[in-house]
Amino acid sequence: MKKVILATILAAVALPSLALAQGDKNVRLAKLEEIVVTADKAQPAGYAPDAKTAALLAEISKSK
Amino acid sequence: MTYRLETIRPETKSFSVFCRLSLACVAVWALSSCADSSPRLAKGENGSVMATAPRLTKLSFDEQPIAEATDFGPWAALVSQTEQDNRTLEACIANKEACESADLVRFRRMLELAQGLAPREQINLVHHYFNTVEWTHDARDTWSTLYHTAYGTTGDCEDIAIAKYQTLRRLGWSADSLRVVIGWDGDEHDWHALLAVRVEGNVLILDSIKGLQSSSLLGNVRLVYSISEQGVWDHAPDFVPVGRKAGQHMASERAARIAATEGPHHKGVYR
Repeated sequence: MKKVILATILAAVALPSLALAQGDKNVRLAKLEEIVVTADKAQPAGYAPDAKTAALLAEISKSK
Repeated sequence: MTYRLETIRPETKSFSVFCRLSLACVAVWALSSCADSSPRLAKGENGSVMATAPRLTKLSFDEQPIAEATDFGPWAALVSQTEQDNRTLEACIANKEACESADLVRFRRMLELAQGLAPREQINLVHHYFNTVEWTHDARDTWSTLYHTAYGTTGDCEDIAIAKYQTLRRLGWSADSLRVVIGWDGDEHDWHALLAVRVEGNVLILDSIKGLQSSSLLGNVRLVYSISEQGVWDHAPDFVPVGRKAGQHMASERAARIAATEGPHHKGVYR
């Protein structure tokens, strides 16, 4: 009988906590999904590639 | 009679203890629920994210994710679409004649050249290649696959970050060295996506706006969450994003402003 009562108490404590943790995670993920990434600006001048990368990019641009 | 009393009493006592403990559990649960549901922050977008989200310099690759990546809707959709696109992309990579656009031919050539480079040179090439994409407004905020971005070299910041991520994965980079980061750019006053790469003990940021930088030089970018095949990391658990409607309102206002001055598409310029 004592074992049954203990198991019931443990289940009563643990299950809602687990459910809450899972629920919290899902709620948090849903909130993060609400962020709409809106950046609309391309790389400005001043961030030129190094010479080797620039040469490779020039070669790539010739590919057809 | 005596016999009955002796057998019932202990059970009654146990039942009473059980009831008390159960009531205590319910009380604790109710109190914790109330504490969680009370707003800890004002829901102002810019102010609260700048106050509560850590700087990009705090990005660590050693923390535990809060969830599987496929639990996150946009990533799950990306994985599904990537599986569909990969057959076409693989055919193009295997045979130039199978490439469906001139941009895919160029992407294929970029992959060929990158395979012979040192890791840091691969990062440079992939980063600069995708920073040439034509920027398009993405009203639905769909996360495009590498194939989609490479096909027409169009997209916005998260598409570029994902294209760089998937390209580096194709070049043999491990998923635990790569992270697509979503955060708030305090300089641009805008939500932004970029790619973080752990290389030789340092974190490099492949940013479609500010270029290729060490994370220490991008202190005004606030981390909100990051994602890779290995999971989702919540870097700012105290930050509460505003609803999608509000975000879309911001985006549509900006799109309307740009459309009024520059036409419906804002072309990125690579120099």
